[in-house]
Amino acid sequence: MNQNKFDVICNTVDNGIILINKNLEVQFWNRWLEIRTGINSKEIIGKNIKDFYPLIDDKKLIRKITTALKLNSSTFYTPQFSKFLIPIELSKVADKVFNEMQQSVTITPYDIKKELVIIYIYDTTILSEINYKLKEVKEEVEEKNEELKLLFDTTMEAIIVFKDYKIVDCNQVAIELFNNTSKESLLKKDIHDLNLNKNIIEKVHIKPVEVTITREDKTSFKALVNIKNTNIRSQDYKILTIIDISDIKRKENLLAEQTKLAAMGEMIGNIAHQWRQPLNIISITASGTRLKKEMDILSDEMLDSALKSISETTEHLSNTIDVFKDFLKEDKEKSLFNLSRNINNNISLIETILKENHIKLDLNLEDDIYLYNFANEFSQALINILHNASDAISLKRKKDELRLIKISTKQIKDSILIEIIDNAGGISKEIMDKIFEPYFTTKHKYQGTGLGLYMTHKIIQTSMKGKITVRNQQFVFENQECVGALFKIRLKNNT
Amino acid sequence: MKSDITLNEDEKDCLQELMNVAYGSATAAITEILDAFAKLSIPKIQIINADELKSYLSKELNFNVEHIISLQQINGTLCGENMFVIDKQSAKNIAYKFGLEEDEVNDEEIADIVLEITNILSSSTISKLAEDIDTNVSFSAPTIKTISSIDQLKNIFISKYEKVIIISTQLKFEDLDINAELFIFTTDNSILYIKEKLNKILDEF
Repeated sequence: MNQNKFDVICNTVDNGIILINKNLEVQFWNRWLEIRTGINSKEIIGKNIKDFYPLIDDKKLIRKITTALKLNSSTFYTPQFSKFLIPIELSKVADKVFNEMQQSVTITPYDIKKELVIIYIYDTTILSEINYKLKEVKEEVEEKNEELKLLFDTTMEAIIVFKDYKIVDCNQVAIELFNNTSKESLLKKDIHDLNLNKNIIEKVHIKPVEVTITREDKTSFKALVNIKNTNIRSQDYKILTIIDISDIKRKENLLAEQTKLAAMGEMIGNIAHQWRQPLNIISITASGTRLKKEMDILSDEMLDSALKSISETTEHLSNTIDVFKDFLKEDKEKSLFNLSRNINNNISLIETILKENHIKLDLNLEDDIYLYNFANEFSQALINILHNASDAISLKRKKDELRLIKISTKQIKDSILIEIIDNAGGISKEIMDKIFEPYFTTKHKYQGTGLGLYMTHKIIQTSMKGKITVRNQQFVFENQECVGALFKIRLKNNT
Repeated sequence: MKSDITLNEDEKDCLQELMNVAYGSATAAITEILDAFAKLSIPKIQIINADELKSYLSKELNFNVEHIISLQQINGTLCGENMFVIDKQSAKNIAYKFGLEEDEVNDEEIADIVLEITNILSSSTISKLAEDIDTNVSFSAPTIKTISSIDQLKNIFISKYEKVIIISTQLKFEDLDINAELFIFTTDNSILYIKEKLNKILDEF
């Protein structure tokens, strides 16, 4: 190649070319470098490159030149670590990442005897910029990932991701819920290892399903599960979420137990009231008879009548016991019962209390309404409302004022409407939507359990599949303006 | 094709011989450049299935400590990749050998030294081998990575090749505790080329 051609190539090529010796004296400086550094080849040729660029690590450069000459093979500056050899400021203004041109440098032996090498400088700024931006994006993605993982692990639900029935991912909650020691041990498993019902796995669920899950170690727990099918990059995944509801269930059972005890407690109160009068009758009759005997005025007729009265009263006591016993019996099955008879029975259980509180009952019951449902549970529900009404009236109305509870029943098509209203002034707005919650009571601690209306609500809505609502209502009774709480119970009677 | 990409005993012997010579010159180069007596163990030559490379490497290398891995692509009829693996402490020791002061030794410098060593080993071994089998090679600039598990290398394994020749050797300095290994991976076509050249050499005997 003649000199001219060599010069043309070196001066038109799009990278820097330096011919340099082992003492770092520049022999050739191409046009690319002239333009980018502003240093004319005439200025630099014959001079040490360090005079122009004092920051160059000469020890390293000489080492690389020596190696290239000794090996008769190229040596390099890796662009991964060395950003540049010759500092060239970039004129770029927009979207700038680096101040100086990023360079990849190759040192190739040229003349081993004269110890000359060629330094090729390539502009790798664009590549480095892309790398830099990629790194930024990667960091961002990693951060997001970290955040997601945190969310994934801090939820209450166990989350398990399946692909082709194999577990591919799960959160910390899932590992703990299934008593696994590490994520890896769970990841090896198959969906069937979780002992879920086939129906749950195969079917599409709109709502979560309540199930009992048995773990591999044979322990089990009640859970709410849901499975969703999703498609990620045209691959089918199933996402299983599980909430351990053992605790909730335990609390629910406890609440039911307490509710039952509260109901029994109230009933014992009712029995006490109900028995006081008949017991008085027996006691008075017995002591009266004894007195008459002592005074020697006891005739046979008197003794007969007294014994009859005692016997009748005892029978009445025995009957009340039966009614109470029935009342406390749990309904195992639905039965057909007459509504008005049921309501009258219920009233008989608490009529003493109502009488003591001077409460007037106004009944408007349709006779031939029959319900196929849980009769005793309904009694409990109704008595709770009546108790509440009676307590509210005693608190709000004076003894000489009208104290009233109205009960009416009505058949409307295939449903039955039962309305109970009192004249205690109504429920205040603030507590209106809380009265069906458990442990909510306005009564003094030892008077109320806070479970009565909760129990009523549960019986009507859950057991009897009906509806119960409450609101305040104004009405007129015997020309008197009244205000009170109106409980409306709706039940279907076609089942 | 499949059966061709293996070397018989004679071919393997011949390659071993050539590599011994090539490694001899590499040792000399390192000794000269570093001014310290280096020793390269006699190269071990194996041909394995490309898909076994990863498990081979994880068995071969001890990843309990951080390692620096340098990769350099070899271009030409004899093509493939050089992989130089060195643990961090050994790399530091080499850096001192290169004349660096304690306060000069940082990650960047260590990387540069490892790169230099890779370059020296690649050039001296492969260039010599290329010369012996009558071809030319050129090298791309090496890339460097610090890894603590073989899984961090997942993207670099060749999948389009069936077999790879692994030429592995250990680098030792007489007065320094240095553990480093050099692997040369060559590709299917290169294996065929080497095989052809080896047979030519064998015929001349």
